[in-house]
Amino acid sequence: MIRNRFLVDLAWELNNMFRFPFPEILLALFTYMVFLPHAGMFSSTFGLEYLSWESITYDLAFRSARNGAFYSVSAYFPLAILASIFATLSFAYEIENGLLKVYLSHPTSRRAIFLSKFLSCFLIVFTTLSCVLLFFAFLDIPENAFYLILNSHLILRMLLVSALESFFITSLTVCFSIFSRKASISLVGSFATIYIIQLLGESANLTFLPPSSFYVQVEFLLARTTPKLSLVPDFLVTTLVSAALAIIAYVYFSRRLELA
Amino acid sequence: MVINLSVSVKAHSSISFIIEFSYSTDKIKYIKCPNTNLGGTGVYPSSVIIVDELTKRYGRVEALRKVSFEVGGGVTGLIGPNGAGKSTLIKILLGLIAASQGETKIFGLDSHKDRDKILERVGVLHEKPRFPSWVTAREYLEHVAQLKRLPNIAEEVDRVSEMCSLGGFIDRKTGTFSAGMVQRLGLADALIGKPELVILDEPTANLDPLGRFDVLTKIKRLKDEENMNFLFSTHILSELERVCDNIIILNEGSVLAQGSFSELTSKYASSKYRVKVDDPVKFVQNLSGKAASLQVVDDFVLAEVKDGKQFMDEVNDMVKRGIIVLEELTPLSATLEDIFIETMRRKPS
Repeated sequence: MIRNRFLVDLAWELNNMFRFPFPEILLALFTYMVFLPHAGMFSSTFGLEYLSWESITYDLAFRSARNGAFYSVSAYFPLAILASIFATLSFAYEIENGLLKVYLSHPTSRRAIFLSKFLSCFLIVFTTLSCVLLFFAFLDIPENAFYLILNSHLILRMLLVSALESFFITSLTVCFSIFSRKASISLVGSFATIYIIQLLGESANLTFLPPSSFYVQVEFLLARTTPKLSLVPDFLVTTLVSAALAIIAYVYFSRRLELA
Repeated sequence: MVINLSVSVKAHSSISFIIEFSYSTDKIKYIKCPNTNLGGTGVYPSSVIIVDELTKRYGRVEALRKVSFEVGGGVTGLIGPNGAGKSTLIKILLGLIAASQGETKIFGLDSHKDRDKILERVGVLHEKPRFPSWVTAREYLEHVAQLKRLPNIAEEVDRVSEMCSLGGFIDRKTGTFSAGMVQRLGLADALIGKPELVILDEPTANLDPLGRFDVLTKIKRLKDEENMNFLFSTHILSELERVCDNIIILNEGSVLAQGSFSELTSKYASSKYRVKVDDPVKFVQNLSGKAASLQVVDDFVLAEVKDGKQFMDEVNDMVKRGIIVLEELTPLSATLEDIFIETMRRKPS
């Protein structure tokens, strides 16, 4: 039996999340990704200029890793829809219909409830995104999969890309969900915000805004040589904004949120 | 040299505790408060709930205005018209909303700072409770039992489900429950783990008459047999009458009256008498202007008077003077509804 209340809450929230049909969601996401014109787009980026066996296999693994990572960025938009649904059901819906009031009438802290809900949303988005990322990294050019396993640090770097992207999506949708307190506003509003940020970034060519910033993160974390220092600000902005949103949401939820 | 010293301290009208000192040559070896069951705090509150100068504002609206009261053991009824501030008060007690001013304590612990400790010993049933529709009642109750760190979860879930007549529904998803079954699940949620205090907001709403009777009987039994305390908020005053030891009447965010049922009866309710005399018409004529109301019903006169003693003197005088022949004089007990109406009538404008 779990004695720690945070772990009890986390297990409960994750169990709640699995009421959604995840195999179907993943299948839909893969189908969406397959039709995106990214496959092999970076294959010409690397020449096989190193003659040693290690260098060649590393290059092949590296190419697959980058392809997978770029695929994960392409999954940003459908994932944002998914995350806004999860965040809305975890926070705004439960605030609106009185479920949270019932949960908080048990011996568990607001901190434990917030963290368990946030983490469960994050884990679901992260797992889904990582599945997509690894699927495409390993199956883009199946022969390279073996080399990718040999260079496992590349897999960890890919997962870090996935984690940073998931963290941003989760923070933004959760923050919006808590402040809106209404399921309908949270669902439409958080997705609209993500869409507006994307439009703004594309039209004004602002590379520090998502999803452009995620491409920067891939360039930074999966650079063949030492990453350029000029990428650092663009790399950090999204991560810092994500952290700030998560902290604001936490402080509001744990100290200011009143449950009618 | 070791000196053992036991001191009884009364820190507040409602809080007292015993401290044992063990003094060894130059320093105090230990200080302990024996026989405590309050998580080692050593505080013995005689009041279960203390509300002190509590104010809650929503913008310009004052939902609660300097509310102060103490709730002892047993069943305490919280009554008042809609918008009186009952639910706001309960939410502040549970730390769901913050007070604008004042403080609330449960078992001597601050209801905001020590929320988790308090909720380990408190069960709650909210008005119109909601439960996740995608889990079964058993799964939900097991989750609550885990949060309460109960040792025998399966046994406890079976016990409360049987107590609240959930039996056949325990393995069904709560989304399929009727309003009455949701209310029963809420009650099971509140009673799981035998909490020392149970806060019930409209516990009999959505229940049929048999269900209401069942719930009230259980509350009475749990109070008598398990020494559980209840704070019971309802609009159905006749229900409170059956189970309440103490009553708090709230109106427009202020406490209008509080005390035991007998205290409130003597203070607020007009005395009512049923009188049987040989000539009711003559009796009424002689008493007109001296009683609040006089009604002739069949052979009886129902008299509602402000001063019972004065009324008895008047009747005695009439009998002595031979105006009437008194056949029967029965004092009628006031109902909670009488007390409530009289309290509302007397409220300061």
